Amino acid sequence: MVTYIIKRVLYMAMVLFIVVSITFFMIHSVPGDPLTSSVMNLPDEVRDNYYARYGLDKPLFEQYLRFWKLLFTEGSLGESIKYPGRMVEEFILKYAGISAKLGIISVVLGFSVGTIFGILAAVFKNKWPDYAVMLTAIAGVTIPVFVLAAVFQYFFTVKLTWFPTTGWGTVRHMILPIACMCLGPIATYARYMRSSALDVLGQDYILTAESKGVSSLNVVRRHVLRNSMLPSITLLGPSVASVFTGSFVIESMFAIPGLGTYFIRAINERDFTMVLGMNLFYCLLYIASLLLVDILYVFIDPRIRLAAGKERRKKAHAE
Amino acid sequence: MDNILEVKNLSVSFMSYIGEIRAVRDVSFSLKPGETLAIVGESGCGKTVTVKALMRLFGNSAAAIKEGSQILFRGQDIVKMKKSELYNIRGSGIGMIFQDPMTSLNPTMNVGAQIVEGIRTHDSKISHRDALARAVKLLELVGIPSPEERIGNYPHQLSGGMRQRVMIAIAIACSPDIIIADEPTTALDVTIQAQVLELLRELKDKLNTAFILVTHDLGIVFDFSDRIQVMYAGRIVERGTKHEIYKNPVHPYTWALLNSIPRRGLQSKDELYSIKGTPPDLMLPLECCPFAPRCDYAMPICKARAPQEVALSDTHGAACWLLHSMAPRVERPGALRGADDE
Amino acid sequence: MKKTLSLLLALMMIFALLAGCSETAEPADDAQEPSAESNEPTEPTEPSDNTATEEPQLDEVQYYNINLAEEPGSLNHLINTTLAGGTILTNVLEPLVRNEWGEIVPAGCSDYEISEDGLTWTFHLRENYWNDGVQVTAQDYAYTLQMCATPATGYPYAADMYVIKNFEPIIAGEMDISELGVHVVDDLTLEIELSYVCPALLNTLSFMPLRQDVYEEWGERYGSEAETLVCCGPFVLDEWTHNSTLRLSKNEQYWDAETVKLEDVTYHIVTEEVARYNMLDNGSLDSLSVSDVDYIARFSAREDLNAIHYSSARTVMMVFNNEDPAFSNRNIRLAFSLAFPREDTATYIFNDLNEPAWSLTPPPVTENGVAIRDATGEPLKQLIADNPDPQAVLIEGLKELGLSEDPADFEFELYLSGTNSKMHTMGEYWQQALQEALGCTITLRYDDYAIFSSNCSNGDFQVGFLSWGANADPSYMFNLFASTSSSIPGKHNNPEYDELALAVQRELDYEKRLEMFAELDNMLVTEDVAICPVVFGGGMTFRYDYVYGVDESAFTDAGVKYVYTAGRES
Repeated sequence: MVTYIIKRVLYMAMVLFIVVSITFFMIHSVPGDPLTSSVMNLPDEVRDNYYARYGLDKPLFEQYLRFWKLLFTEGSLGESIKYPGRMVEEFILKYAGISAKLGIISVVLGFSVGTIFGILAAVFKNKWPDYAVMLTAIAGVTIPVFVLAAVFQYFFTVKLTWFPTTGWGTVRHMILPIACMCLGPIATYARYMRSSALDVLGQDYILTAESKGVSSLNVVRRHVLRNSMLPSITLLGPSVASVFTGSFVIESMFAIPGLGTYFIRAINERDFTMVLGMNLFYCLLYIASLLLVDILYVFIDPRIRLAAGKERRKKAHAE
Repeated sequence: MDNILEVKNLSVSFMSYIGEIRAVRDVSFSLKPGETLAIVGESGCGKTVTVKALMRLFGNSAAAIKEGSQILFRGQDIVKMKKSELYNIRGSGIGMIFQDPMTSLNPTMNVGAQIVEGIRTHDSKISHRDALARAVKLLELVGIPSPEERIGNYPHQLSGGMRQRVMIAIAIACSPDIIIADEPTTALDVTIQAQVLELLRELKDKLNTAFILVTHDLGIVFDFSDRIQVMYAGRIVERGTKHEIYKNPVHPYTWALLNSIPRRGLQSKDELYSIKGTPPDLMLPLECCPFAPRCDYAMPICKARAPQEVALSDTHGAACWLLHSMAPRVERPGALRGADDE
Repeated sequence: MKKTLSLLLALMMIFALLAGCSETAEPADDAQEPSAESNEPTEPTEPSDNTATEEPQLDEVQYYNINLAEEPGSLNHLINTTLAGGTILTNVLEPLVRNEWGEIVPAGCSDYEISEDGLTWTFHLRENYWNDGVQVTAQDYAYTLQMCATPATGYPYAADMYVIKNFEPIIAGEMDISELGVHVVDDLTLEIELSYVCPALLNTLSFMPLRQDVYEEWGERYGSEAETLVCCGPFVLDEWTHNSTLRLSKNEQYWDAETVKLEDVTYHIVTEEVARYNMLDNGSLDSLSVSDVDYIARFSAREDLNAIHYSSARTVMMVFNNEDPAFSNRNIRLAFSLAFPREDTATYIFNDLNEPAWSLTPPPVTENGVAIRDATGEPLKQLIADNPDPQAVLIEGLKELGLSEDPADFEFELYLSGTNSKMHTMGEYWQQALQEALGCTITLRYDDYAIFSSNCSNGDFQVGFLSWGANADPSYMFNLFASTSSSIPGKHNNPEYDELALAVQRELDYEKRLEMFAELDNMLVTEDVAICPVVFGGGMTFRYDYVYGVDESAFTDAGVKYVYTAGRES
C-alpha cells in the first residue's frame, strides 16, 4: 500500500509539472499583459522598472525558471501583479477556505441527500417517490446555477427577507448559496445511485439476505447502501476539485469572497502570477482527490486490493 | 404425521408490459417433516418460481401470487401473512440455498457477518460474540477447514465449493424446519458437486429437516430424495416416490427426462438423446396438455384438453391422457429399462 | 407514463413562470428628464428631488451602506490604479484641497498662496491628526511627492506630475530626488515649485499625505490590508474583508469631525449586477446606480426611492487611426462622423440616459463656471446640415485616395473594446446604420480591453470604440490628443493643436482660456475630425429618501463626508 502511494505521488508531481508548464507558456502567448494600462504614461525608465519588478522584462524561459526557483527556495508563488504587495499563496490560503467551506458542504449534502433520494427511487421504483426524485434530478441538472441563484436571491431576500442578499460570515449567509450549489450534486448522485441501487437490488445476494428474514429496511441499510455507493465514490473525487472552480457563479451572485472570483479575474487581467499559482493549486487538488478516492475504494470494497501478489497467495490458501 | 407444508392451487404470474406470464399454474403438493421432496423439470418449467413463492421471495421482479392460492406452513397461510410474520418465517422456519454461490453472497461483507446477520435477525438477544461463535461452529459443520480463520474471509477469497458450503451454513443457521435447495450444485464442477451433495445428505440425516431439492438433473435426485415431482410448463405432470418414478414412470415427459441421462458405456460417436422442440410460451392459456407438441405419443385429445391428474397409488400420480381407460396402451421406451442399472 | 409527462411539463412551466416573473414594469410615463446638471453649484443639502421644507430629524444611529463595483487594487495611493481604491482613499485620507459641491475648497490646508510669477504655491496646513494620534505634517505631503518621483515606486500617473519642478528628470533617473520642487518650510507649511505656470494645478492633482514611518514599516505590503494603513481623513478603515466588504468608521481625530455625521460606512463589494439590484430593493444598500432598463422602471415606481439622473463626465467616441491608408483622408473620416446615428444611439442603445455628443468635452467640465460644451457650441450639427449626403463626402474622399469611386467597393473595420452582448448589439447596430448611410461594407471586430488597447497602441485598427472620462481641468482631455501623448491611439498630429493645447495651460485669463478650449474642441471634432463623438456618459442613481448630503457634482472627491440619514425607520 505504501509503495503504491509513493508511486502515485511521484506521478502526481510529474503531472503537476507538465500542467503548470503548459499553462505558463499558454498564458504568455495570449496578447496583452497586466501592466499595459498602468504604465502607459510612464517614462521608459520607470516603465522598465515596473516590468523588472515582476521579472516581465526577462526572456520567457528565464521567467519560467524564476517561477520554479521561487517556489522551491521560498515556497512562494510570487507576488500578484494586480494586487501589489499581496502574495499569491496568501490569496490561496485565505480564500480557498471560504470556497472550500461552501463547496464541501454542498458536495457532502449533495452526496448524502442524493444517495438517499437515489435509493428511495430505486426501492420505490415506478411509484411516486421514484417520480419525485427523478423530477428533482432533471431539474437539478438542467436548471443553470445562475438562474437558480437569481430566483432564490429574489424570492428569499427581496420578496421574503429571510436571508441576507449578499455577503459571507454567518450561517444565514451560507444557506442560499449552498442551496443553489447542492442541487446539482443531489441530482447527479440521485441518478447514479438510483441506477446503481436498481442494479444491486436485482442481484442474487439481496435474495439471500431476504431469505434470511432480514427486513427490507435492513436489506437496504446493510446490503444495498454499501454496494451501490461504489460508482458514486468514483464521482466524488472530481467533485472535490470542481467544488472550488464551479462555485464562481455563486460567489459572484452572492458576493462571497472566495477563490473562484479571483481566478477568473486573474485570467481576464493577465495577472500571470495569480493564474499560474491558482492553476497549480487546482491541479494539485484534482489529482490529490483522485488519489484519495482510489485509496478510499480499497477500504470500501474488499475485492479491490492494490497489491496483486497478496491476492494470489490468499487464493491459494482457499483451495 | 401432519404435513408441515401444504401447497394448494398455487398460481404465480409475472406481469410484464407485454402481458401476463403464467409461470406456475395451479400447483398443489405437500411435505411431511423430515421428508425430502425433489422437484425436477427443464429450465423455465416453473420449479424455481414455485419454491420462491413458498417464502414470497420475489425481490424486484413483478411477480404476483394469484387469488385462490394457499401456502400453509405449520397451518399458517404464507400468502396472506403480514410482512413481519413473513420475516419471522424466512430463515427460521424455512431456509434457502441458492443456485449460484458466486453471486449469492454479498461481496463486501465477510462470511462471518453474513451468517451472523441471519442468526441475529431471529435472535435479537444474542451477543455478537456468541453469534460469531455459532457461525464458526456452523462452518465446521459444513466442512470448512480452519473455520476461525475463514470467518473473516470475503466471498471472493473462497473457492466455489467453499462458497456453497457457506450458503448452506447460512441456510441452516437458525435450524429451519424446511430447507429449500434451488439447484445447489448446478454452478459447481462435478467433483465438488459430489462433495456438496454428500454434505447435504449428512445434514439431512443429522438435522432431520425437510428438504425440497429443485433440480433439472435427474441424475442426483434418486440418491437424495424420498419423493419426486416432475414439472412442465408450470404444472406437475407426474409425482411419486423415487421408486415409483424410477421403476414405473408413466408420463412421456418423465420418460424423456430419464432418457436424457447419459448412460455409462456410451461411445463418443453415439448421439445424446434430447427432447425435440421447445417449451411452450407461458403467456398462452394452454388449455391443452402443455407437452403435447413435443410428445411422441400425442393424441388429438391431448391438443384439445388438459388432462387431469390420475392417481395410480397413494403416492403416485400423473396427468396424462395415456392413463385414461380409453387410451391405447403404450409401451414404455425400451431404453428406459436400463433404469435398473445405474 | 403519460401522467408523469404531463406532471413534469406542468412543474417545469410553473418553474419557468417563477423564474421569469418580475413585477410587470410599467414604463415611466415620460423618459426621466435629466435633472439639474451638476455643474451648477448647488446648495450642499437636500438632493434635487427632496423638497422637504423643515430640517429633517437626524437618525439616532447613523450608518450608510453603499456598494463598490470591484475590489480595490491597493490602498497604497502611490500605486493604486483602480476606481474602487480611489473611492476608499478619498474617505480615509485628507488631501490638501477637495473638490466639493463643484468648487475647490481647502481641506488639509486652511489656505494657500500663489507667488507672483505663478511658479510657487505655498500651503498652510490645518491642525489635523492621523488616527493613531500623530499630527499630520507638511512632511507627510512632501513624502508622497517624493515617493511618486522615485523611479523604483513606479507611480502610474507620473506624467501628470511633470508640472512639478524637476519631476521629469528625477523620475527618468537623471537627477537626484533632493532637487524635487517640494519644500517643507516647517511642520505646517509646504511649498511646491512648478516648472511652468499652471492655474489649474489643484484641479488636476490631488495631494495626499503619506506617513513615512508607516510606509517603511510595511514596505511592499503597505495598502494591501486594513492594518497597514493610518488614516487622517473623515473616516478610518476598520476592516477590509477582501472581495467582500470594507468597513469605515468616523475618525474622531479628524479636524472637521463635527461635520461628519455618519458613524459607520460599509462598502459592499458586489460584482454581480442583479445581486446589487436585489440589495437595493430590500434596503441592504442605501444608494445605487442602476443601468438596467427594467430595474430603472421598477425603482422609479417606488415612493421611497429618489431617482437622480447624473452626468458622468465621460465621452463615448470613435477614434480614427490617422495613419491608416483610408482614414488618413479627412473626407473619409468626416463622412463617418456625419453619418453616425448619434441621436438614435442615445435613445435606443442608452435609453436616453446618455445624451448625444456633438463635441468632445462633456457637460460637467467647466471653466470658471461656464461649461466648455456651451462655449464650443455644436458646429458638428452645422456641418451635418451643410452636408446632407454623407455618401457624397465619402466618394470625395475615395476620389482623393485614388480608390474606386463606388462606395460598395470600400470596406473598413469597426473595432470594439469588449466582447459582451451589449457591445455586440452596439456594433451590429452601427454597422447596419452606417452601411445604409454610406453604402460601403463594414466588418466588426471585438476584443477584450487588454487586447484592444494593445492592438490600438500598435496601430492595428482603423476605427476604434472608446470611452474616456474627463477631468475637472479641461486641459486634461485636450492633452490626450496632443501628438506627445500616447494615451489615445490614432496618432492625431496637428502642430497647431499641440501649440494651442500648450498655450492654454499657461493662459491665466479665464475668458481667453474658454475661447481657446472651444477652439481646441472644434479643431478636434470638425476640422481635424480626429474623433467622432457619440454620447456623453450618464446614468441613474436611486437613493432612499432618508439619505441626505450626497455631493452630486461630477468631479467631487468629497466621498461620503457630508452624508447623513434622517427618517430611516419610517
